Amino acid sequence: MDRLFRSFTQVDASTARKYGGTGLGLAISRRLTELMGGEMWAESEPGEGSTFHFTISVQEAELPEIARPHLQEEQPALRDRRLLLVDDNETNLRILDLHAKSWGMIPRQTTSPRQALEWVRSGERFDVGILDMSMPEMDGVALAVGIREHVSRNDLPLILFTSLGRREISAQADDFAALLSKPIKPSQLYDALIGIFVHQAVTVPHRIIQGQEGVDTELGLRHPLRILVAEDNVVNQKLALRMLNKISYRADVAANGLEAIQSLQRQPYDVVLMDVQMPEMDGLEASRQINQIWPGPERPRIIAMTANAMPDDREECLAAGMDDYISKPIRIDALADALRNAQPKTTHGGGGE
Amino acid sequence: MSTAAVDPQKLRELTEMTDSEFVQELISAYLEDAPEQILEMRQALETEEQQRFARAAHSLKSTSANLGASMLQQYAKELEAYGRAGDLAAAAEQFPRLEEEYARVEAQLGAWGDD
Repeated sequence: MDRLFRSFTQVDASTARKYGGTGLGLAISRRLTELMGGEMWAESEPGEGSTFHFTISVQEAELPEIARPHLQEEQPALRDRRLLLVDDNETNLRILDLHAKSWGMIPRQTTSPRQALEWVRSGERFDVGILDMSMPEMDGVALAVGIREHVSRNDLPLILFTSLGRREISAQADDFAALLSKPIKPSQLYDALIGIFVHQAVTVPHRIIQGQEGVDTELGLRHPLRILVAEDNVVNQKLALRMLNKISYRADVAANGLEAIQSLQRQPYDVVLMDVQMPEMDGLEASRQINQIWPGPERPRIIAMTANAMPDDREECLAAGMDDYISKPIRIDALADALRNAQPKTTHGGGGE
Repeated sequence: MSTAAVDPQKLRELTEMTDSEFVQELISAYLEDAPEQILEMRQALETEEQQRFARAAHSLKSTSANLGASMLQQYAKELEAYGRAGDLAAAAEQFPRLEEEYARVEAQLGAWGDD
């Protein structure tokens, strides 16, 4: 049997056999498995068939991308971070840009190192930069030197994007906070970015700050609504009530879906602000039941509040019979917008507006 | 260069929107709630209850977000994802990191308003 694995050997050596071939395939395969620290063998029964086996020894891989589902969502630690992307290769730029945006970052990209330098020189603020190593006009290391004339390492950490290893890069590469190797793997990009922001944690210098100016503090007076907040967590309850209060609403609280339904049975509400994940009965199940119990116009408008930012979650909420959706942490302007779209139910006549 | 576990900007924004008394109240509620969620997570790891683990991580994620504890929020989010994917081995591996981060958050929130 072992003869099979020798070069230019066939079990049936006649040239007239049905299946052709040089007799190298198995020899090469066995050689490859041996090079990888394994072996290859075959078990064969004439007239029955053959089973070929091989083993190789490999290092355990990092967690596959699929096992890190959070890589596909917005990342709180990266959100609103301004990212400078410089690479002469537009495909790379597009990929980097795509990942950065999916994590909530604000990328600005260019194929021209001079353009990038001009942005930095003119005072445009970035939280982190990714520079390609080999660019025709000016390489990544030279660009970094130029950038450092205007911004310190602490203020703008830089990542060098290269197919070379750290050892092959000149001493100036020490100026980089991280090296990113090609081809781009989202997990590596993520780790490099997170690594930078873990170390300088919360300087959060350049984020656009949400102002309070636009808050309509009298909304509840002009557009009164009876509101029930269904939320199990005390911290979130407090904050939701306080935000409602800020725009002149009062609300009752239910600690889970079951309590919410009980409250609705006791008295009518115009709006239920419904947390999705709650013990006893979650927001999805509660919404299904509310739709069953009150199928007509007397049903309160149900606005989901969820910390899951995936598009699927929104679909799930709507499928369960909710009307609208705001994401956590709740922003007061989003809350006000959602309430503006709700109408008081006059059918009960008990509201007293 | 001290690194902040809690974004002071977020707390200032909250204070601006409400008042410092409310922010203190919110912090107290958080400092009571978060250790309970973390304990819940630890117990769920021991008893290998994925849903329970993910639920507690989810709660911690959302409350931490409210107070600007973004790194802790991030870790909780990752652990919630591991819990939902049923990978409690990975969750157990990352769990100590979350506990350490919470210790930093706790220290910083405890001192908020002292200065």
